[in-house]
Amino acid sequence: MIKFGSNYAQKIQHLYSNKPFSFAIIGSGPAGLYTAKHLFNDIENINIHVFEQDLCPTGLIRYGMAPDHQRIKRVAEELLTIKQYEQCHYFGGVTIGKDITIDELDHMYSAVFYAFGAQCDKPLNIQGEQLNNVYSARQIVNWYNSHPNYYDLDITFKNKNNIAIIGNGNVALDIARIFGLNQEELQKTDINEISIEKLKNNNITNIVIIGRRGLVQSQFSLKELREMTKLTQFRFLLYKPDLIQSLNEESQTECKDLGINYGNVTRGNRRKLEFMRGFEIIEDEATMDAILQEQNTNGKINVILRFLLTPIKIEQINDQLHLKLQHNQLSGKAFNQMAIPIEEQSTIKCDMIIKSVGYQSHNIDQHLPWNYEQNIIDNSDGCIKKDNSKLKVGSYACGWIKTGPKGVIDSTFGSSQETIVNFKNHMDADLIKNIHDPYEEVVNLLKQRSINYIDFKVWDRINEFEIQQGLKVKKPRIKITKNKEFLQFL
Amino acid sequence: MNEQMQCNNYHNYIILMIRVLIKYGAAQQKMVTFFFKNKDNSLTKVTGQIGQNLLQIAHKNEIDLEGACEQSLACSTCHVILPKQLYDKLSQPIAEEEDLLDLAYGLTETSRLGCQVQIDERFENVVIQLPKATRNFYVDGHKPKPH
Repeated sequence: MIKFGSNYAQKIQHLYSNKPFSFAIIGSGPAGLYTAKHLFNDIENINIHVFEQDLCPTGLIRYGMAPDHQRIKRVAEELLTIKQYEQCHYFGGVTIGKDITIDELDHMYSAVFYAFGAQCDKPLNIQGEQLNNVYSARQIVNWYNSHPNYYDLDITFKNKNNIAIIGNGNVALDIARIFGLNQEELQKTDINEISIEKLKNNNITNIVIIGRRGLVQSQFSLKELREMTKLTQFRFLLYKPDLIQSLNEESQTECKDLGINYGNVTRGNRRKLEFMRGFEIIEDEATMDAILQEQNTNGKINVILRFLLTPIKIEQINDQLHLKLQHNQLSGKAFNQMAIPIEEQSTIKCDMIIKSVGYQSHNIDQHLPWNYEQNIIDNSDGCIKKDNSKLKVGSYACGWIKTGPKGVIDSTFGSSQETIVNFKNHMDADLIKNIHDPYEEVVNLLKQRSINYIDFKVWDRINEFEIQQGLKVKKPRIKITKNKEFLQFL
Repeated sequence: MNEQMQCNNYHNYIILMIRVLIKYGAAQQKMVTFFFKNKDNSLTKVTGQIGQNLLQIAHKNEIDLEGACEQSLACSTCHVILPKQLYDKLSQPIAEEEDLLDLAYGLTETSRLGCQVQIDERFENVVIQLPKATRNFYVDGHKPKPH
């Protein structure tokens, strides 16, 4: 389908009509599906195969986005409209790099778009990280989203009064919010019954969210913060000594209106700071200790935002976890401030620790050029680099595997769009080879290697089933949790 | 001759009636015509009813605007850029919209979310710009530099 009014699309049609191109997209999350959708919009006569490691499509929309954010999850339906194209095939449950190598992909397709995101957690690399009741954000997020590998995570909220979350991005806020939802709010989500059973009636009193740098450098967005403050069970608190250290001159510069060249950066900082000025302040250590020892808060949950602290050690002492923290101060110029350790240390006693310091990508095939410094595919604006001077023409990166795991769905769309623009330049320069649809070849290859996969037709049946099951109990859907059960739809 | 004149009169009368009907209909529906400037700088002429929002009109006209959250103010994928003159005339966005604009890709001083902007007569002939894919993608560690 060509969009009229778009000169670019018409040009591409003119140059390439009647010659088929075949593309592989690795990963079916927001970046992969967005790329597929826009390639279909912009270029005629193409075949697209979407490969996904999980059986179900949509990646973090299904397994990452918070289960109480159902409206935004509906973006999946919009992205999956690519199903309408006969030339679009989905292979769910196929691991690229293992089941099919990237060398094989390079031979079978005109171009390959890598959009496999960030599959792992960044480690803290501190002692005690492996203790019981210490979880990674990925484990928790996948657990409450019923991911087949994590739905049966060994977790209990019995006698868990104080929770520490290390890292202060949107994922940390998501976790804090989900942990604090009341029964009624939980029932509106698609969290499975077993997990709801564990979450409801928990007796969490305090959630301490810990950031390495200052308040202005905190990673969560005002959108998430404001949403959480609207839920009456949460009481937000800041700690005075943190604030004094946080709001140095450089940090205040980071909130000033410095004009459009600073994009959203200062604007977002400024608005977030203004909003947080409305939070209650804990004056001193004694008050903090008293709050952390509170037992009965009438169903209220204190969310204490702490700053300029780096975890250095976790110890299990009796029934509690002791999180040892190194205090930091900010150093460096505005917009480039680092957390530098100072002498002071302190300990937070808690019952559960969540490590939420960010996701991390890992390479899936040794033949895929890798940037070890940033843990992303080695690329220049989405074009994968063969080495420092040459591009690997025909290979592209979209979404988090291109930029690193930062930003919201809008930034993923934006960065994928940039990749598509650069790819179309390669098409214009006649650098992309014509290849007929390799569908039969792929199907035979997977058959030979005895790999079960689900396609769009099977997914439609699964999706319909989950939604129908949900309707009966007034929930958005009831997710299937076991791979075995998914494969029964084949 | 007479017959032909009569016929012509009749013909003209019908045309006049159609014109009146179109005009009356348009007045009833209060249509406004304006343009979307696409990501490749091409212009698309669109017509929308007063009270419709920019995202609805964009979708109806196959403009490349996402609108991922179905107008629930949960994302910023329907980000559009208004001409300054028009932006200044409209009422201020609510705090929740501003929160999302903070996260928008390629924010400008006259950015709005398409789903929150309802058109009226003031939109006649204006050009609504879609944000472009820029090379200046903000990631962690990005250091903005002033001119």
